[in-house]
Amino acid sequence: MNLLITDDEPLARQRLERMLAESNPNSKVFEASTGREALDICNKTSIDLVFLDIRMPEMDGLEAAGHLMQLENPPAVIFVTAYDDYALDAFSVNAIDYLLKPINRENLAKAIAKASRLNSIQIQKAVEQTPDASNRKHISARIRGEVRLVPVNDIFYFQADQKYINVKHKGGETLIEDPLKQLEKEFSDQFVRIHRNALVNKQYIHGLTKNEKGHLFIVLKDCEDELEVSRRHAAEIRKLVKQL
Amino acid sequence: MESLNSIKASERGIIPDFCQLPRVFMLVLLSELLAVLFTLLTHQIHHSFWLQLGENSLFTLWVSLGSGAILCLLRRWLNDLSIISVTLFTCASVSFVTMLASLAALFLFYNQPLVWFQHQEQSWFIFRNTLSALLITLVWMRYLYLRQQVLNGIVSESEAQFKALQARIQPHFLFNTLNTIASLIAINAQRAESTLEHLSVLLRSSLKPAGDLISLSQEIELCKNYLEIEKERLGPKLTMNWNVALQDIDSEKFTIPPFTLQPLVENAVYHGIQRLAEGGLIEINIEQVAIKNKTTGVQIKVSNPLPDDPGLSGNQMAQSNIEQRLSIRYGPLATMKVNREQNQYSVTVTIPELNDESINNR
Repeated sequence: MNLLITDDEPLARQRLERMLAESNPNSKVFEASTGREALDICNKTSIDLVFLDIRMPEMDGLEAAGHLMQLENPPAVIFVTAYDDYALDAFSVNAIDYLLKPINRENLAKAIAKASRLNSIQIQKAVEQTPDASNRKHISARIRGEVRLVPVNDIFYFQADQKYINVKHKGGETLIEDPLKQLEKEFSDQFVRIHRNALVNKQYIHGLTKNEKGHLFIVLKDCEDELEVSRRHAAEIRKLVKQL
Repeated sequence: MESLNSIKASERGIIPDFCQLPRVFMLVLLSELLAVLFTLLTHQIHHSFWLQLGENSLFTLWVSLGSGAILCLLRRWLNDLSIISVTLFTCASVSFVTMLASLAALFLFYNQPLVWFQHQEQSWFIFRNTLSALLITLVWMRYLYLRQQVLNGIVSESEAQFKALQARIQPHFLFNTLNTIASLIAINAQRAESTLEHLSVLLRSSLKPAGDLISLSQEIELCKNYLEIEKERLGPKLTMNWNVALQDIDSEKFTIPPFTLQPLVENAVYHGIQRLAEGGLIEINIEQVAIKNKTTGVQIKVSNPLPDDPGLSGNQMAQSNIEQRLSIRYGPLATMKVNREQNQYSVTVTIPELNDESINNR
């Protein structure tokens, strides 16, 4: 069995590693100090079980779990935390496994024995029920069997294209399956709806332009694409551009 | 929180609530006592004592209940005013009611036509009543003022104690520390031991009775213990820089409420350093400042780097807790300023030196 410990605190990792070496001597234990590292390891190696600390810099445990679920064979996940009222409530409601620090051996053995794969709905619900959870800072997409992360700050726009959403970002283009409506709700602070099929990152809006037919288009910074603004959203977008 | 405080302020104001039945009863009782006193003093042997008492009681009741009704209706508004305005307004309204009652008495009891101040006796009657009412009101206001001072003292004291209880060791910190110790036991027993020692210093001071002041040097010691623990947990991510410059102030004698500085440092760790992958530097500057003429104080500044995203909003709670505790104890002389510039965050707290003068002025 391949196990992965994800925690930003070295001592916390060392303790769990020691305990796992005792309880599962035949397993191989990997270590990651950030959610991103955890994802990289899971992309390359087939991991069966991931221990995820909830509070970590840059990407918290809940977000990391969401991205891990995009893998073809997602690992089972056990969350680890010292004390998180809200998150723990959300976990018990959604039947998500967790361990409390300092972890005790008995609970660890039980959790490993019953550890199950999560599905993205469980995680999404847990995030919704955790008032102090922050928004995802990355969008994940599966490309050639690997899960790739795109920082939300680097995304110019989301555009619905039949079944998929095309994500245009600094590093190119990526297709994802998340519904546009959900993205709009999740990133309402950062993105604005300009058309039935498109959300644009407010920080990249440069201005507006009109074509010969009188249709309104949005001009972006650092990106050559011009996106049509539908008549329904025109007034709101004009107001927004004035404020910028 | 603000609305809660403002409700409390009006509940706690100087004018009591005359709309409550027990208060009305006391008002009637006191008026009767006054009427008896007045009748005793002015009683002439040829007249009927009881008839005179009856007239006097009726008159004092008019005045007291009439004034009570006005104060009951305007209490909320009055209690927002300054003490001088409240006194002036109360005196004016009691005098006004007394004048009205005197005129009514002249008209009803003595059946005298109301010709303004034609008879000297009439004007003397009105003048005498109003002046007496005014004097009684002034004495009563003095009583109310003293009563309010005492009540406020009790309330602030218990509020300060409650806030101090809230400011204590965070559960998240406690369990993280226990985890650190559990890990260190197998790796380095000596470091485990010293972490446990640091933790017991923190726990011990958090178990002290709330409301006791501690010296600045003790609070600094507390923070150093705290930071030692966090340094063990976060490793090289956490670096700190202490800068203490106190010229005339003896940090052994300068007292502050316990857990004034520590929660600020804890915020800097939890909301700053811990959330940055590369960590960062916490700077703690403690210096002497002049606050107002003659009052010196200590200024404590804690600054730390912040990640890009605003993140959780938990730090406001600890900060407003400190701010409230300081304002209860020191009034406007203590201040707290928060400054956020891009990725650098700092909190500056100024605490005056507690001497007899500043206590009396608060």
